[in-house]
Amino acid sequence: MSKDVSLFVRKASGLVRAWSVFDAFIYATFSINLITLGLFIFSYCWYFEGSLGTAVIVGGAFTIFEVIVYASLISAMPRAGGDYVWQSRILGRGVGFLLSVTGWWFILWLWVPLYGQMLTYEFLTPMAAVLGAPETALWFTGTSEGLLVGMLLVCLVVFIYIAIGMKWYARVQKFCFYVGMVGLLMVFALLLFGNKEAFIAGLNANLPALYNLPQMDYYSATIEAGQAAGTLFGPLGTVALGASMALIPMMVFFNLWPNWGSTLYGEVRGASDYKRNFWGMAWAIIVTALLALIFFALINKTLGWDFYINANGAFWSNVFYGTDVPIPVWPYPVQFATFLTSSRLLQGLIIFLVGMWWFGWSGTVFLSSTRVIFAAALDRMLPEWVSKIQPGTKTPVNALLLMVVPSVIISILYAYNIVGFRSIVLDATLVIAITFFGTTLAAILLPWRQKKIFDGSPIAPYTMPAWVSWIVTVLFAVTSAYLIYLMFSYAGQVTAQWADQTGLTQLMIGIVGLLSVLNAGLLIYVTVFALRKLLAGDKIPLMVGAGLVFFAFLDWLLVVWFWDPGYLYGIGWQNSTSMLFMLIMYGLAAAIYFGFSAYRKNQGIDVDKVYQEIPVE
Amino acid sequence: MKKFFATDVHGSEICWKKFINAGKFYEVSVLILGGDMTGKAIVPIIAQGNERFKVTLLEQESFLEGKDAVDQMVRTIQDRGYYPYLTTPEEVAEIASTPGRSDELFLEHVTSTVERWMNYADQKLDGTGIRCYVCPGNDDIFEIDEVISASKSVRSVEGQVIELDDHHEMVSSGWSNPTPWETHREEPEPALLSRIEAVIGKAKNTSTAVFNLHPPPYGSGLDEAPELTKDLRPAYAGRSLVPVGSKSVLAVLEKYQPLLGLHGHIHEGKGTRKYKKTLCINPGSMYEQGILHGAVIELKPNKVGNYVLTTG
Repeated sequence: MSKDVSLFVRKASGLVRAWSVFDAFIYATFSINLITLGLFIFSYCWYFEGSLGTAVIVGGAFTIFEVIVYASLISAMPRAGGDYVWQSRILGRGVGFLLSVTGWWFILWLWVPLYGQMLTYEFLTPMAAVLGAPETALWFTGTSEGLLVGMLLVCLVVFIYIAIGMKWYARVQKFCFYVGMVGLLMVFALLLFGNKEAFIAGLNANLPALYNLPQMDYYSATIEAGQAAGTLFGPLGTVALGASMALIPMMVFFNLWPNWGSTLYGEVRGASDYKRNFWGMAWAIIVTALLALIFFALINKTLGWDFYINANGAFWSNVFYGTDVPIPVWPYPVQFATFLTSSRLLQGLIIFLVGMWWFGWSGTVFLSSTRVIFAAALDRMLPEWVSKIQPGTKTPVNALLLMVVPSVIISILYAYNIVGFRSIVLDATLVIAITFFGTTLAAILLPWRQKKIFDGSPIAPYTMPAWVSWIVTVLFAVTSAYLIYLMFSYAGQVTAQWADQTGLTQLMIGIVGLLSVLNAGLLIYVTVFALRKLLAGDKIPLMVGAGLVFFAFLDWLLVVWFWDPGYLYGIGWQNSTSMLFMLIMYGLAAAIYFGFSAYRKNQGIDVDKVYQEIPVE
Repeated sequence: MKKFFATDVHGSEICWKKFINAGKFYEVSVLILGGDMTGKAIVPIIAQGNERFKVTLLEQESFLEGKDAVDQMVRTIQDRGYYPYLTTPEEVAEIASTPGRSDELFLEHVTSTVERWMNYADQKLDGTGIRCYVCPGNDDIFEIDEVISASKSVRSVEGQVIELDDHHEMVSSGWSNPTPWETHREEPEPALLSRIEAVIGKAKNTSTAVFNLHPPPYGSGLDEAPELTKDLRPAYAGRSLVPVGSKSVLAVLEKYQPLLGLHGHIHEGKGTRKYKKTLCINPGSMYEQGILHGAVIELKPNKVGNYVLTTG
């Protein structure tokens, strides 16, 4: 018996048993939502020659390293407040503030119109059509006002979630998961047992009936419209690794977020909680990737891959360039699948059930940001009133207003495509990727900068064998050299066109150039840091190894997003709206940081001590 | 007057040391520890013969060779808030199989640790002019009160009203409303309300007082903890948060409207909340990581001045 006893506990509050990995998996699966984020960004991939399947697998593989980094940080410093506190503690308060308020607060303003667009395309439009209101359905998708209503509805739904509190939102989310999954399985069943002929017939019959459109061969017309728009794609079954890499900066729009809410950690327990955190997130990536591949295979079988990609190309080309589009609504594969049945009731039921993927997920848009607003207020970097709770509804009304008001402004800009705002979709990913970049750097440094915390944590024993550490570090060094070469190669190509650019674009090139120099310095610093630790004979923790891989991955994403020589992602130096939007956000964060730091110092509050460790003599 | 408030160090040696040294670091004249000073677990370091020891910390089993490694492990265990215990396989078996034996062991470790902490405080605070108040919480066994009372520099204020300065009194109680763990200083809300009211009755001026009450007010947001299933597992992977604070504490805060409410108990509940003119603070706790959450608060005669929550 004594062999099994390794700990005596007494009656004390907070000692709980292990939590369910499955529940954590549900939350993470909703965060990397295949139906909302996944289908939306897949539809944007209509001008790439790579394979979506390869991109999903390779992107997912890199995300596993992210999961190791975040599960490790949660174990080492749980209940800390996430990225904000990890970065503040390890990299400094200024870096923590700048990267966290932009990545977990400001950029969520842009996510609101994106959530609204998905609500409109995946729920409001097809539901209105099935309910016999074709004009309303087309109004939602085809007009700026319709899109804006969808965006305002996002604010309303999320406000309700925050008002009912996490207790009920967790229940709603679990319900939506099961219901949404049933809907998805029904879609899979329809696609599995249907065939292309039946789909073509269903498409040509349902589109006129549902949307009051003229009779025609929509299948052929859509393929022709897509081809005319310049649609490119690789066959689904091929690996095409090189070409598919270009798709990964698109894929991360949906699969970079398994870490969105995993902060749970039990007192007194240790290693098992680390593994639970890891598997909750990792299973979400694995299962979502598998579901995506199954979906692709079924689309390929029954809808035809060329039809699906061309439909996407025709739709987006119409939105951005005004080209002809036979199907005037977003090519929603779920609705396409419902065309395999003639029952309006079943069609509506499936759209409703799959719509739960949106309703279960949508609360995430403000929940994290209100927490960051509260955290910043607690650090006295915002006025006290922002964290006020309204007694009647028990909601943080002011914090919500700080989300809703800018979100509505951004939504108007987006819905009406003012100054090309609809082109900055990937900014929503880029800015958060920069936040994760900072956190990953913090993870790499943590074992040495917060040695006591790390050594006393359950992840301390997880180290890599020396030979693996050498391989990872050398690969990191080689990748760093490649990234530096890549940046300066791109810089050379871009500066060759310097004279052709406007003054504003030249300024953006200058900023990207400056960021590249800083990035090169950072890559060299991390390489030297890791090599020095190895040469000193230190054991390299698994978190650091995973951190080096994920850091290099994020760095590559940032390089291709900002330089973007093929203008594939549309948010780099060529897009002044995107660059200015980000500059304004970081500038606002910096203004708040420096402004409030000075103001609080003037009040006699030494905010520099907020995250400083108390020295013990 | 500036003071530093922390809570729920739960046996963490490094957190206690940080708390005592916080006076100088934050330049405050009063230190207040809200409650729950004692640890929740004993970690046996089991002799295997030939200066070799086996220990399982945070579910990771490791073997230690020699005194230095054991000393290092002892410090690590202490800093996490647990009690290290050098023992033998036979004794571990005996403790595990004898009812009440582990309670005796806890009593021994808890009191000896608190005694060591008091000595540390006496040594560090002597001559500094910094006053230090502690108020044991619901997780603390009653035997520690006597140990604290023997200290020269640390004063236990359970059930007392003390004068912080010429303008402010502090009303203190570490008792809480019932928890699922049936801890030492908890009782049903009516009894808790009577207890707190009895202490408040000793105060001369509640409107400028500080209420140092361990549980946060019910529904304040400072009391949100993961919802538990019947078998004490976090429901919905801990994402469902429910209020678990005290309705008695809420009632006295609303009734007397003191300047400041100092609370702890719910480690995840870090934050502030205002009830009319009363500012309530729960600095939260990260004792297992050796990080001391706290609050530096300036009290002015009729209001709370500047304050900031710290992660030290």
